[in-house]
Amino acid sequence: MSKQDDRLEERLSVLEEGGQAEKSMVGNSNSSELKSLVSLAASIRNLPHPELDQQTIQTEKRRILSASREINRSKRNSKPAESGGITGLWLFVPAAAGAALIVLMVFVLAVGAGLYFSGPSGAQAAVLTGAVGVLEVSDTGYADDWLPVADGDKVHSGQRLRTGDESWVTLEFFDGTNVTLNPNTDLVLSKVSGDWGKVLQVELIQNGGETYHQVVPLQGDRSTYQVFTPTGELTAGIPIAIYCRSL
Amino acid sequence: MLEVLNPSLIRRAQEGEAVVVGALYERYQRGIFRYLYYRVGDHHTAEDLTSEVFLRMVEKLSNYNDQNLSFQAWLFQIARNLSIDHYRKMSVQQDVQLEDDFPERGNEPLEMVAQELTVEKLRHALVKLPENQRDVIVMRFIVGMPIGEVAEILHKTEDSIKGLQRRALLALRDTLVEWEVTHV
Repeated sequence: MSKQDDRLEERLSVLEEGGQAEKSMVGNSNSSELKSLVSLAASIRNLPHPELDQQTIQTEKRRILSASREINRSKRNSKPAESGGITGLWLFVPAAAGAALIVLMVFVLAVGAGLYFSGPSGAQAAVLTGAVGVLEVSDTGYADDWLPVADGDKVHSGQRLRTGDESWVTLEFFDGTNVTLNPNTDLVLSKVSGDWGKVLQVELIQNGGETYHQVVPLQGDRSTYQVFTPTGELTAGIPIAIYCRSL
Repeated sequence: MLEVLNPSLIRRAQEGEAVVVGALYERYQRGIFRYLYYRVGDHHTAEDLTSEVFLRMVEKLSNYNDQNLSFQAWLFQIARNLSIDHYRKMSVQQDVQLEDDFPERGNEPLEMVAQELTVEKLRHALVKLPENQRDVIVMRFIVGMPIGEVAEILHKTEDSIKGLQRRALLALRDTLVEWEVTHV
Protein backbone atom coordinates (compact mmCIF):
# COMPACT_ATOMS: atom_id res chain seq x y z
CA MET A 1 0.00 0.00 0.00
CA SER A 2 1.29 3.46 -0.84
CA LYS A 3 1.41 6.40 1.51
CA GLN A 4 -0.87 8.20 -0.91
CA ASP A 5 -3.59 5.63 -0.24
CA ASP A 6 -3.25 6.33 3.46
CA ARG A 7 -3.24 10.09 3.00
CA LEU A 8 -6.36 9.92 0.87
CA GLU A 9 -8.12 7.79 3.47
CA GLU A 10 -7.13 10.26 6.20
CA ARG A 11 -8.66 13.13 4.22
CA LEU A 12 -11.78 11.12 3.47
CA SER A 13 -12.15 10.31 7.15
CA VAL A 14 -12.05 14.01 7.96
CA LEU A 15 -14.72 14.54 5.33
CA GLU A 16 -16.89 11.75 6.79
CA GLU A 17 -16.68 13.39 10.20
CA GLY A 18 -18.04 16.59 8.73
CA GLY A 19 -14.72 18.45 8.50
CA GLN A 20 -13.25 20.31 5.58
CA ALA A 21 -10.54 18.00 4.32
CA GLU A 22 -9.43 20.44 1.67
CA LYS A 23 -8.20 22.99 4.22
CA SER A 24 -5.43 20.70 5.47
CA MET A 25 -4.00 20.07 2.03
CA VAL A 26 -2.61 23.49 1.23
CA GLY A 27 1.09 23.47 0.39
CA ASN A 28 1.42 19.73 -0.02
CA SER A 29 3.00 18.60 -3.30
CA ASN A 30 0.37 15.89 -3.70
CA SER A 31 -2.41 18.12 -2.49
CA SER A 32 -3.74 18.87 -5.95
CA GLU A 33 -4.46 15.23 -6.70
CA LEU A 34 -5.73 14.58 -3.21
CA LYS A 35 -7.93 17.61 -3.37
CA SER A 36 -9.54 16.54 -6.64
CA LEU A 37 -10.15 13.00 -5.34
CA VAL A 38 -11.64 14.18 -2.07
CA SER A 39 -13.77 16.67 -3.97
CA LEU A 40 -15.00 13.89 -6.27
CA ALA A 41 -15.82 11.68 -3.26
CA ALA A 42 -17.76 14.54 -1.69
CA SER A 43 -19.67 15.15 -4.93
CA ILE A 44 -20.60 11.48 -5.16
CA ARG A 45 -21.80 11.51 -1.56
CA ASN A 46 -23.95 14.57 -2.13
CA LEU A 47 -25.80 13.29 -5.20
CA PRO A 48 -29.52 12.53 -4.80
CA HIS A 49 -29.06 8.77 -5.04
CA PRO A 50 -32.16 6.74 -5.89
CA GLU A 51 -34.19 5.07 -3.19
CA LEU A 52 -37.32 3.00 -2.79
CA ASP A 53 -40.59 4.89 -2.43
CA GLN A 54 -42.52 4.65 0.83
CA GLN A 55 -45.27 2.49 -0.62
CA THR A 56 -42.77 -0.07 -1.87
CA ILE A 57 -40.98 -0.04 1.48
CA GLN A 58 -44.22 -0.79 3.33
CA THR A 59 -45.26 -3.51 0.87
CA GLU A 60 -41.86 -5.16 1.03
CA LYS A 61 -41.75 -4.94 4.78
CA ARG A 62 -45.10 -6.69 4.97
CA ARG A 63 -43.80 -9.46 2.69
CA ILE A 64 -40.66 -9.90 4.76
CA LEU A 65 -42.51 -10.00 8.07
CA SER A 66 -44.93 -12.49 6.61
CA ALA A 67 -42.05 -14.68 5.41
CA SER A 68 -40.40 -14.38 8.82
CA ARG A 69 -43.59 -15.51 10.58
CA GLU A 70 -43.97 -18.42 8.15
CA ILE A 71 -40.40 -19.57 8.76
CA ASN A 72 -40.81 -19.39 12.53
CA ARG A 73 -44.13 -21.21 12.35
CA SER A 74 -42.62 -24.08 10.37
CA LYS A 75 -39.67 -24.20 12.78
CA ARG A 76 -42.04 -24.55 15.71
CA ASN A 77 -44.08 -27.20 13.90
CA SER A 78 -41.01 -29.22 13.04
CA LYS A 79 -40.16 -29.65 16.73
CA PRO A 80 -41.23 -33.10 17.96
CA ALA A 81 -44.52 -32.94 19.83
CA GLU A 82 -44.39 -33.88 23.48
CA SER A 83 -46.28 -37.03 24.16
CA GLY A 84 -47.38 -38.87 27.18
CA GLY A 85 -50.59 -40.42 28.44
CA ILE A 86 -52.27 -40.10 31.76
CA THR A 87 -53.74 -43.52 31.72
CA GLY A 88 -54.74 -45.09 34.96
CA LEU A 89 -54.61 -41.85 36.91
CA TRP A 90 -57.72 -42.82 38.90
CA LEU A 91 -55.64 -45.49 40.63
CA PHE A 92 -53.61 -42.76 42.25
CA VAL A 93 -56.25 -40.45 43.70
CA PRO A 94 -54.44 -39.75 46.98
CA ALA A 95 -51.26 -38.98 45.10
CA ALA A 96 -53.21 -36.73 42.72
CA ALA A 97 -54.73 -34.81 45.63
CA GLY A 98 -51.25 -34.26 47.08
CA ALA A 99 -49.98 -33.18 43.73
CA ALA A 100 -52.89 -30.77 43.36
CA LEU A 101 -52.02 -29.21 46.70
CA ILE A 102 -48.41 -28.80 45.64
CA VAL A 103 -49.52 -27.28 42.34
CA LEU A 104 -51.73 -24.83 44.22
CA MET A 105 -48.84 -23.80 46.47
CA VAL A 106 -46.54 -23.41 43.51
CA PHE A 107 -49.19 -21.31 41.77
CA VAL A 108 -49.55 -18.99 44.75
CA LEU A 109 -45.78 -18.64 45.01
CA ALA A 110 -45.49 -18.07 41.26
CA VAL A 111 -48.10 -15.33 41.31
CA GLY A 112 -46.30 -13.64 44.20
CA ALA A 113 -42.94 -14.01 42.51
CA GLY A 114 -44.45 -12.81 39.23
CA LEU A 115 -45.75 -9.70 40.90
CA TYR A 116 -42.34 -9.13 42.45
CA PHE A 117 -40.27 -9.85 39.36
CA SER A 118 -42.54 -7.93 36.98
CA GLY A 119 -41.17 -4.86 38.71
CA PRO A 120 -42.84 -1.76 39.99
CA SER A 121 -46.18 -0.61 38.67
CA GLY A 122 -45.88 1.04 35.27
CA ALA A 123 -42.36 -0.20 34.56
CA GLN A 124 -43.46 -2.22 31.54
CA ALA A 125 -44.97 0.71 29.67
CA ALA A 126 -44.45 4.36 28.82
CA VAL A 127 -47.24 6.90 29.20
CA LEU A 128 -48.00 9.48 26.54
CA THR A 129 -48.11 13.09 27.67
CA GLY A 130 -48.16 16.49 25.97
CA ALA A 131 -49.71 15.01 22.84
CA VAL A 132 -50.24 17.44 19.98
CA GLY A 133 -51.44 16.59 16.47
CA VAL A 134 -51.53 13.20 14.81
CA LEU A 135 -50.08 10.32 16.87
CA GLU A 136 -50.42 6.70 15.88
CA VAL A 137 -49.30 3.39 17.31
CA SER A 138 -48.89 0.04 15.62
CA ASP A 139 -48.22 -3.45 16.92
CA THR A 140 -46.81 -4.64 13.62
CA GLY A 141 -45.71 -1.55 11.73
CA TYR A 142 -47.94 -2.43 8.78
CA ALA A 143 -49.15 0.51 6.73
CA ASP A 144 -52.80 -0.23 7.51
CA ASP A 145 -52.33 -1.16 11.13
CA TRP A 146 -51.96 2.27 12.72
CA LEU A 147 -54.31 3.32 15.50
CA PRO A 148 -54.63 6.84 16.91
CA VAL A 149 -53.42 7.39 20.46
CA ALA A 150 -53.73 10.31 22.87
CA ASP A 151 -52.55 11.69 26.20
CA GLY A 152 -52.61 9.11 28.98
CA ASP A 153 -52.41 6.09 26.66
CA LYS A 154 -49.70 3.55 27.36
CA VAL A 155 -47.24 2.05 24.89
CA HIS A 156 -45.40 -1.20 25.50
CA SER A 157 -42.44 -3.22 24.26
CA GLY A 158 -42.81 -4.17 20.63
CA GLN A 159 -45.03 -1.27 19.68
CA ARG A 160 -44.18 1.43 17.20
CA LEU A 161 -45.14 5.06 17.54
CA ARG A 162 -45.15 7.77 14.92
CA THR A 163 -45.97 11.47 14.82
CA GLY A 164 -47.42 13.35 11.85
CA ASP A 165 -46.75 16.86 10.60
CA GLU A 166 -46.86 19.50 13.35
CA SER A 167 -47.24 16.74 15.95
CA TRP A 168 -45.39 16.15 19.18
CA VAL A 169 -45.63 13.76 22.09
CA THR A 170 -43.60 12.85 25.16
CA LEU A 171 -43.20 9.31 26.47
CA GLU A 172 -42.69 9.08 30.19
CA PHE A 173 -41.09 6.03 31.75
CA PHE A 174 -41.80 4.97 35.32
CA ASP A 175 -38.67 6.55 36.82
CA GLY A 176 -39.30 9.96 35.25
CA THR A 177 -37.06 9.46 32.23
CA ASN A 178 -38.76 10.85 29.14
CA VAL A 179 -38.36 11.16 25.40
CA THR A 180 -40.07 13.74 23.23
CA LEU A 181 -40.88 12.93 19.63
CA ASN A 182 -40.81 15.85 17.23
CA PRO A 183 -42.95 15.95 14.04
CA ASN A 184 -42.61 13.08 11.56
CA THR A 185 -40.79 10.80 13.92
CA ASP A 186 -40.98 7.03 13.80
CA LEU A 187 -39.89 5.17 16.93
CA VAL A 188 -40.00 1.48 17.84
CA LEU A 189 -40.08 0.63 21.54
CA SER A 190 -38.19 -2.60 21.26
CA LYS A 191 -37.82 -2.91 25.04
CA VAL A 192 -39.57 -1.15 27.90
CA SER A 193 -38.94 -2.78 31.21
CA GLY A 194 -37.90 -2.03 34.75
CA ASP A 195 -37.37 -3.45 38.18
CA TRP A 196 -37.40 -2.53 41.83
CA GLY A 197 -34.76 -0.04 42.85
CA LYS A 198 -35.53 2.26 39.91
CA VAL A 199 -33.90 -0.07 37.42
CA LEU A 200 -34.95 1.14 33.97
CA GLN A 201 -34.36 -0.91 30.81
CA VAL A 202 -35.25 0.86 27.60
CA GLU A 203 -34.27 0.10 24.05
CA LEU A 204 -35.56 2.29 21.23
CA ILE A 205 -35.10 2.05 17.47
CA GLN A 206 -35.50 5.38 15.76
CA ASN A 207 -36.38 4.85 12.12
CA GLY A 208 -36.73 8.52 11.35
CA GLY A 209 -37.36 11.99 12.68
CA GLU A 210 -36.07 13.72 15.77
CA THR A 211 -36.20 12.81 19.43
CA TYR A 212 -35.09 14.54 22.59
CA HIS A 213 -34.20 12.38 25.57
CA GLN A 214 -33.98 13.33 29.23
CA VAL A 215 -32.64 10.44 31.20
CA VAL A 216 -32.85 10.28 34.98
CA PRO A 217 -29.57 9.02 36.52
CA LEU A 218 -29.63 5.29 35.85
CA GLN A 219 -29.52 3.03 38.92
CA GLY A 220 -27.21 0.02 39.05
CA ASP A 221 -25.52 -2.10 36.40
CA ARG A 222 -28.77 -3.52 35.08
CA SER A 223 -30.17 -0.16 34.00
CA THR A 224 -29.87 0.59 30.31
CA TYR A 225 -31.15 3.28 28.00
CA GLN A 226 -30.24 2.76 24.37
CA VAL A 227 -31.35 4.43 21.17
CA PHE A 228 -30.53 2.84 17.83
CA THR A 229 -30.68 5.06 14.77
CA PRO A 230 -29.83 4.42 11.12
CA THR A 231 -26.45 5.96 11.83
CA GLY A 232 -25.52 4.26 15.05
CA GLU A 233 -26.25 3.74 18.70
CA LEU A 234 -26.52 6.16 21.59
CA THR A 235 -26.30 4.88 25.11
CA ALA A 236 -27.08 6.88 28.21
CA GLY A 237 -25.59 5.60 31.43
CA ILE A 238 -25.27 8.92 33.26
CA PRO A 239 -27.58 11.88 33.74
CA ILE A 240 -27.74 13.20 30.23
CA ALA A 241 -29.99 14.70 27.64
CA ILE A 242 -29.54 13.24 24.18
CA TYR A 243 -30.60 14.95 21.02
CA CYS A 244 -30.48 12.68 18.04
CA ARG A 245 -31.45 13.20 14.47
CA SER A 246 -31.85 10.18 12.24
CA LEU A 247 -31.68 10.21 8.45
CA MET B 1 -22.47 5.26 8.49
CA LEU B 2 -21.57 3.68 11.78
CA GLU B 3 -22.38 0.03 12.01
CA VAL B 4 -23.16 -0.46 15.66
CA LEU B 5 -25.83 -3.02 16.25
CA ASN B 6 -26.67 -4.52 19.59
CA PRO B 7 -26.19 -8.31 19.38
CA SER B 8 -29.39 -8.71 21.39
CA LEU B 9 -31.31 -7.17 18.50
CA ILE B 10 -29.98 -9.82 16.14
CA ARG B 11 -30.79 -12.58 18.63
CA ARG B 12 -34.34 -11.31 18.88
CA ALA B 13 -34.64 -11.14 15.11
CA GLN B 14 -33.33 -14.71 14.99
CA GLU B 15 -36.12 -15.69 17.37
CA GLY B 16 -38.58 -14.16 14.92
CA GLU B 17 -39.52 -10.98 16.80
CA ALA B 18 -41.41 -9.13 14.07
CA VAL B 19 -40.75 -5.61 15.27
CA VAL B 20 -36.98 -6.20 15.21
CA VAL B 21 -37.04 -7.89 11.80
CA GLY B 22 -39.01 -4.89 10.52
CA ALA B 23 -36.53 -2.47 12.06
CA LEU B 24 -33.62 -4.29 10.41
CA TYR B 25 -35.34 -3.98 7.05
CA GLU B 26 -35.98 -0.27 7.55
CA ARG B 27 -32.43 0.30 8.67
CA TYR B 28 -30.69 -1.41 5.77
CA GLN B 29 -33.10 -1.23 2.81
CA ARG B 30 -31.78 2.10 1.54
CA GLY B 31 -28.12 1.05 1.46
CA ILE B 32 -28.89 -2.35 -0.05
CA PHE B 33 -31.12 -0.85 -2.73
CA ARG B 34 -28.54 1.78 -3.71
CA TYR B 35 -25.75 -0.78 -3.80
CA LEU B 36 -27.81 -3.02 -6.08
CA TYR B 37 -28.96 -0.12 -8.23
CA TYR B 38 -25.39 0.82 -9.05
CA ARG B 39 -24.49 -2.82 -9.66
CA VAL B 40 -27.36 -3.70 -11.99
CA GLY B 41 -28.15 -0.24 -13.36
CA ASP B 42 -31.90 -0.63 -13.36
CA HIS B 43 -34.41 0.57 -10.75
CA HIS B 44 -36.89 -2.31 -11.09
CA THR B 45 -34.26 -5.02 -11.08
CA ALA B 46 -32.61 -3.41 -8.05
CA GLU B 47 -36.00 -3.30 -6.34
CA ASP B 48 -36.62 -7.01 -7.01
CA LEU B 49 -33.15 -7.96 -5.85
CA THR B 50 -33.50 -5.86 -2.69
CA SER B 51 -36.66 -7.76 -1.88
CA GLU B 52 -34.83 -11.03 -2.49
CA VAL B 53 -31.96 -9.97 -0.21
CA PHE B 54 -34.28 -9.45 2.75
CA LEU B 55 -36.18 -12.65 2.11
CA ARG B 56 -32.84 -14.45 2.16
CA MET B 57 -32.04 -12.55 5.34
CA VAL B 58 -35.04 -13.97 7.18
CA GLU B 59 -34.38 -17.45 5.77
CA LYS B 60 -30.72 -17.49 6.77
CA LEU B 61 -30.89 -15.37 9.91
CA SER B 62 -30.63 -18.38 12.20
CA ASN B 63 -27.27 -19.24 10.60
CA TYR B 64 -25.83 -15.76 11.09
CA ASN B 65 -23.01 -15.59 13.64
CA ASP B 66 -21.87 -12.16 14.73
CA GLN B 67 -18.47 -13.55 15.75
CA ASN B 68 -17.48 -14.02 12.12
CA LEU B 69 -18.90 -10.97 10.37
CA SER B 70 -20.77 -7.76 11.15
CA PHE B 71 -24.46 -7.92 10.33
CA GLN B 72 -24.22 -5.24 7.68
CA ALA B 73 -21.29 -6.99 6.00
CA TRP B 74 -23.26 -10.27 6.05
CA LEU B 75 -26.27 -8.59 4.44
CA PHE B 76 -24.17 -6.95 1.73
CA GLN B 77 -22.53 -10.27 0.97
CA ILE B 78 -25.99 -11.69 0.32
CA ALA B 79 -26.72 -8.70 -1.95
CA ARG B 80 -23.44 -9.10 -3.80
CA ASN B 81 -23.97 -12.83 -4.35
CA LEU B 82 -27.51 -12.27 -5.61
CA SER B 83 -26.37 -9.63 -8.08
CA ILE B 84 -23.64 -11.98 -9.33
CA ASP B 85 -26.30 -14.69 -9.83
CA HIS B 86 -28.42 -12.11 -11.64
CA TYR B 87 -25.60 -11.34 -14.05
CA ARG B 88 -25.06 -15.02 -14.72
CA LYS B 89 -28.68 -15.35 -15.75
CA MET B 90 -28.63 -12.22 -17.84
CA SER B 91 -27.08 -11.59 -21.18
CA VAL B 92 -23.40 -10.73 -20.88
CA GLN B 93 -24.11 -7.74 -23.09
CA GLN B 94 -25.58 -5.71 -20.24
CA ASP B 95 -22.44 -3.80 -19.27
CA VAL B 96 -21.46 -3.09 -22.85
CA GLN B 97 -24.94 -1.81 -23.56
CA LEU B 98 -24.81 0.53 -20.58
CA GLU B 99 -21.55 1.98 -21.81
CA ASP B 100 -22.89 2.41 -25.29
CA ASP B 101 -25.92 4.24 -23.94
CA PHE B 102 -23.82 7.19 -22.91
CA PRO B 103 -23.75 9.95 -25.58
CA GLU B 104 -20.60 9.86 -27.64
CA ARG B 105 -18.65 13.08 -27.78
CA GLY B 106 -19.09 13.05 -31.54
CA ASN B 107 -22.84 13.39 -31.10
CA GLU B 108 -22.54 16.42 -28.85
CA PRO B 109 -22.72 20.00 -30.09
CA LEU B 110 -19.33 21.43 -30.95
CA GLU B 111 -19.47 24.07 -28.26
CA MET B 112 -20.22 21.63 -25.52
CA VAL B 113 -21.17 23.18 -22.21
CA ALA B 114 -19.56 21.50 -19.22
CA GLN B 115 -22.06 19.09 -17.69
CA GLU B 116 -22.68 18.56 -14.02
CA LEU B 117 -22.28 15.20 -12.36
CA THR B 118 -25.62 13.41 -12.04
CA VAL B 119 -26.69 10.00 -10.80
CA GLU B 120 -27.03 8.78 -14.38
CA LYS B 121 -23.58 9.99 -15.40
CA LEU B 122 -22.06 8.51 -12.29
CA ARG B 123 -23.73 5.17 -13.03
CA HIS B 124 -22.35 5.16 -16.56
CA ALA B 125 -18.90 6.11 -15.35
CA LEU B 126 -18.95 3.37 -12.70
CA VAL B 127 -19.69 0.77 -15.37
CA LYS B 128 -16.22 1.46 -16.78
CA LEU B 129 -14.54 0.48 -13.51
CA PRO B 130 -13.49 -3.04 -12.58
CA GLU B 131 -16.08 -4.71 -10.33
CA ASN B 132 -14.13 -4.42 -7.07
CA GLN B 133 -13.35 -0.75 -7.62
CA ARG B 134 -17.00 -0.06 -8.41
CA ASP B 135 -18.07 -1.85 -5.22
CA VAL B 136 -15.61 0.18 -3.15
CA ILE B 137 -16.91 3.49 -4.53
CA VAL B 138 -20.53 2.53 -3.97
CA MET B 139 -20.02 1.11 -0.50
CA ARG B 140 -17.76 3.91 0.72
CA PHE B 141 -19.38 7.02 -0.74
CA ILE B 142 -22.95 6.07 -1.62
CA VAL B 143 -23.80 3.63 1.19
CA GLY B 144 -21.37 5.33 3.60
CA MET B 145 -19.68 2.20 4.90
CA PRO B 146 -16.40 2.25 6.83
CA ILE B 147 -13.27 0.78 5.22
CA GLY B 148 -13.27 -2.18 7.63
CA GLU B 149 -16.66 -3.43 6.57
CA VAL B 150 -15.93 -3.00 2.88
CA ALA B 151 -12.86 -5.15 3.49
CA GLU B 152 -15.01 -7.79 5.20
CA ILE B 153 -17.49 -7.93 2.34
CA LEU B 154 -14.87 -8.11 -0.40
CA HIS B 155 -12.64 -10.51 1.58
CA LYS B 156 -9.68 -8.14 1.40
CA THR B 157 -7.46 -6.29 3.83
CA GLU B 158 -8.17 -2.67 4.75
CA ASP B 159 -4.91 -1.62 3.07
CA SER B 160 -6.00 -3.31 -0.10
CA ILE B 161 -9.35 -1.48 0.02
CA LYS B 162 -7.52 1.84 0.48
CA GLY B 163 -5.53 1.09 -2.68
CA LEU B 164 -8.66 0.11 -4.61
CA GLN B 165 -10.38 3.24 -3.36
CA ARG B 166 -7.66 5.55 -4.66
CA ARG B 167 -7.36 3.80 -8.00
CA ALA B 168 -11.14 3.85 -8.42
CA LEU B 169 -11.37 7.58 -7.70
CA LEU B 170 -8.51 8.30 -10.10
CA ALA B 171 -10.13 6.25 -12.87
CA LEU B 172 -13.51 7.83 -12.22
CA ARG B 173 -12.04 11.30 -12.27
CA ASP B 174 -10.31 10.61 -15.59
CA THR B 175 -13.53 9.29 -17.13
CA LEU B 176 -15.47 12.35 -16.01
CA VAL B 177 -12.76 14.66 -17.32
CA GLU B 178 -12.91 12.82 -20.66
CA TRP B 179 -16.70 13.31 -20.73
CA GLU B 180 -16.29 16.93 -19.65
CA VAL B 181 -18.42 16.34 -16.61
CA THR B 182 -17.64 18.68 -13.76
CA HIS B 183 -17.92 17.92 -10.08
CA VAL B 184 -17.58 20.60 -7.42
